[in-house]
Amino acid sequence: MSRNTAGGNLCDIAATIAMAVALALVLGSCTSDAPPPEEAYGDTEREALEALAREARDPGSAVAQARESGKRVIVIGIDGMDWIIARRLMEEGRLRHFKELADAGGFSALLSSMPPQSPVAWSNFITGMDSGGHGIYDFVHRYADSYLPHFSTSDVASAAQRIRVLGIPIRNRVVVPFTDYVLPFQGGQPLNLRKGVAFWEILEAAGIGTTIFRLPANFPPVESATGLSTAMSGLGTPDILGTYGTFSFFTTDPWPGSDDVSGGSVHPVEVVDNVVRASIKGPVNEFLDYDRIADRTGSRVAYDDRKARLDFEVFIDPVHAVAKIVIGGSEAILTEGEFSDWMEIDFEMVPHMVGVNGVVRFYLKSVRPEFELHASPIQINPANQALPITEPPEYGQELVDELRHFYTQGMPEDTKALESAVFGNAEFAAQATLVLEERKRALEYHLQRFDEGLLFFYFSSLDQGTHAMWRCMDPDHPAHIPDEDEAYASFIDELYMQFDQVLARVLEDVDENTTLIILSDHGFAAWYRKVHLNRWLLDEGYLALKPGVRPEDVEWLLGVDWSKTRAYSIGINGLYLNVKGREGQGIVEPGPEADALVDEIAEKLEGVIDPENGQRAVVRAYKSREFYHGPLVETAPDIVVGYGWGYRGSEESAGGAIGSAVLEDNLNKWSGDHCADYMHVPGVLFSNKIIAAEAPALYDLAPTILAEFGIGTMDWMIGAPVF
Amino acid sequence: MWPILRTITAAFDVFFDLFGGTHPVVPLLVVSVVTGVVMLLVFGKTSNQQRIAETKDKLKAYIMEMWIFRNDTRVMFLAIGNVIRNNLRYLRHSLRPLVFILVPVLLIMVQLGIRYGSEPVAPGESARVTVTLDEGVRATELDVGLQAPFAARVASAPLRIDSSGEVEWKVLGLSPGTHELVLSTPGGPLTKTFVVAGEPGVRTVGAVRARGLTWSAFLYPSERPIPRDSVVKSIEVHYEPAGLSVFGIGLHWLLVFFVVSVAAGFALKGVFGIEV
Repeated sequence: MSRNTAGGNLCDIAATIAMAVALALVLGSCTSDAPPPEEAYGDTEREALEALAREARDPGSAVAQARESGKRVIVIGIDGMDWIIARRLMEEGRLRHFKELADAGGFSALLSSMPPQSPVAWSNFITGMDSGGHGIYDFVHRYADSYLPHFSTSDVASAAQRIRVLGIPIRNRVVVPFTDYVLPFQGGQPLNLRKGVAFWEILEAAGIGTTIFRLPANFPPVESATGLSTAMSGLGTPDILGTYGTFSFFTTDPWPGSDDVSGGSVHPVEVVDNVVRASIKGPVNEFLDYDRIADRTGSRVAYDDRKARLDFEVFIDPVHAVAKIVIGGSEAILTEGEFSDWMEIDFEMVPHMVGVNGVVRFYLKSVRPEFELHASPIQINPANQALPITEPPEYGQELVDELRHFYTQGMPEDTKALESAVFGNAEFAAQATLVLEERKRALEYHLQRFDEGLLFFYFSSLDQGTHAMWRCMDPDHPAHIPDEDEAYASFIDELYMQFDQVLARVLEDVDENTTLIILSDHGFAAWYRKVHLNRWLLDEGYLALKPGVRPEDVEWLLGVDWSKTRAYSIGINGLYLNVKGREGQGIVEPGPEADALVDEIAEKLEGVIDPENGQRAVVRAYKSREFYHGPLVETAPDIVVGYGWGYRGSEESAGGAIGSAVLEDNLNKWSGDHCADYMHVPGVLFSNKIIAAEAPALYDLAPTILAEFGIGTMDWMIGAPVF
Repeated sequence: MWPILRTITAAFDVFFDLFGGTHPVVPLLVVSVVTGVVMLLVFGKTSNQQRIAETKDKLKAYIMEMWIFRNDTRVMFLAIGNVIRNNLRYLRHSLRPLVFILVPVLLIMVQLGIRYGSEPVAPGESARVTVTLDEGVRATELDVGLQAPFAARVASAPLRIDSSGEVEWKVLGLSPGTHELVLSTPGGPLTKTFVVAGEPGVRTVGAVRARGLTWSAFLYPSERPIPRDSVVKSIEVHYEPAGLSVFGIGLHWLLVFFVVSVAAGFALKGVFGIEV
């Protein structure tokens, strides 16, 4: 079995900030006096909402009439539904309900955001603005002072920054005498970094109830000012380690490099008397004073050893391929090749006092000759939230009561297990099916509870399935392995057909007073070739390394000589100048010098030709100052790279690595992508109403939904209604 | 013992069948109120009513003394001592009737427990079935098997654990109803009920079938105990704990039973002229 152990994946970026999030997880679960998050919008927006609220109280207003009529708008977000694939399948008669909807109402390509990444695209949808307005430019942003990466959509306000007396930060914890424990006064607080007003906040101001289920770029969920909005966070929601999803794999057959698997942790185990004893790692225990432990023991506690652990046992039958997992008071019998139900677990932080709760499910991959057990990333339990994932919190309990436990992390399809060959195609497909079935049950429940107002419901399956399985349907893909992949050549088409059945169910609840909108945030393209943007910058002389540092050793841009570096790349499409006064060690003067450098780099980038096939790797380099609108343009990457079809920025470069060459084949299982130029990957827009706009874009949808409730487009929005 | 328990269980079955179409809380409330009244009457008959009344009067008097002489420390402490002494006396007078009440209440609680304590397996869901063997019997050396009826399916191979003397299976519920699993053992077949949700009314869900005169056999009287000469000590279906929703609020059946029966007893003590 070949295993990919390459680091540098986006999940590795997650790992670097896991410690901060873990602090919030632990402390957030036991403190309540959290500071208010940074204001997402200002006086102009607040005054507009107040004016709208006044207008909505007038019975003669359009919004009041829409509200009184019981107007319903259902929006189904299908992440990654591709316009070209959808159109082909409709023409082939395999998406009957979509075809009928398109014929009776409207069907159009939907212009994505630039870059066409989900956090950016869904933020366009949410706010009716582009990145210049909402401030989300990529999956990954950087701290300008340190150049270190962080998640673009959420961050953690450190508890250490929050305890002040007369403006002076003070130590925010007390040491428990005669122990190694400390008790903090306050916990960290997750922050939603998306700026701007979410469209459902506008609806709420007008007295219209909304349910927003799993919408990306909504973690932690926007607080409801009136109690009319119910929401569960989507993409951006971490597991309880604070990462985008870290699986665990317990095996008697660890392979070379298995201690460095991207997006997972591999644990060697032994079978003794038909029993496996192991432990699963939780968040870092911030209730222990590691300085004190180091003083006492004379050795520093490694980061990995600071994580809370939960022991468990697996009993194996000596003959049959069956095992029993006993963990945290729960037990499950699994046959080889079977997933367990969700199991609730607690990580004890302070004995008998403080714990962090989560849910996990296991997959028994093999019993013998080698024992192999996969544990899912540990999910935040909606009924006992270590971090806020629902608004209001009671909505989480309601969901568990009705649906039992389910995946809560942002993108739950375990593409990382597939990438590292812990999962094969069949196992990934089975796990992805579990996710989709859970989501279908949730949709059924939400359709039943939906009465009037707005229901937004999100699916991730098509996006993740297409990312992971593109190579199966594309014999030209460098990662295509005929023997393994041909059986899954129609996997993506079949996923689309499953959504046709989802649509059939939704249509049952669509009446004359209901507007139905189905949209995707982007389409898809093959990802044949990786572009190592930092390598290109190094080769062109824009980026320099410190003496003695080899390019292949650079991670997180550590080793870069900032005194000689004029430009660097962080994120999949982002390229920043090293601007004096903005970056920590900037050398490029802002103004004409920076503008000229942007022009120069953009022109050169658009001339990058792939020597393998003569194609352009970059079709357009967008200059933020010209491309975006709104007050946050200054915080954007200076250039947003529009890759050609089949090309994408490498995950290594996205995390601040250099790479060995500018271009190389993409041999990852993650073989389809959408981070090319946005003109290459349009999404879809379906509705039961006729679409009048010739070229609708994602930022048009917020004004469209508002218009359905008799509310005009807000001044700050750049979109317009599409009907 | 078993015939008595079986008779009581049959009587409760008849009673619960009367409430087939109602919310599950209705028969629970009826049982609780009747229990409260019957226990009140038993208490009245088996306790020294005169002594209880005297003790309660004294308690009231000493509490009043504490209030009146709250500025006189010596008197107040004496009064506190008397309150404690009469409290103990009150408890002593209550002990005798409690002995008479304990057994019937326990029997009633057992009957309620097998009806409200466990959630039947939902169709399409599964539950673990654990067979516990005699100490010293190695599970891997014993020839046991489990067969399910048409309405259920044994969904795993047997998992045999020598260290705990257990054999386990996963059994999938398919169709609503009370079904019988058949366990083949060297001493002959044994059956165990397996309840799949979906039928109306409150169903008997006995999680355990145990051997002989054991506490488990007493707690789960819906099935005949396993013969004493069997190597099998118990067969257990691991149902999920049941929830009881009253006006949308999740409550434990035991809480409802205690609150309602005690409230009924106190509410009706004046009607029956019983000092409690």
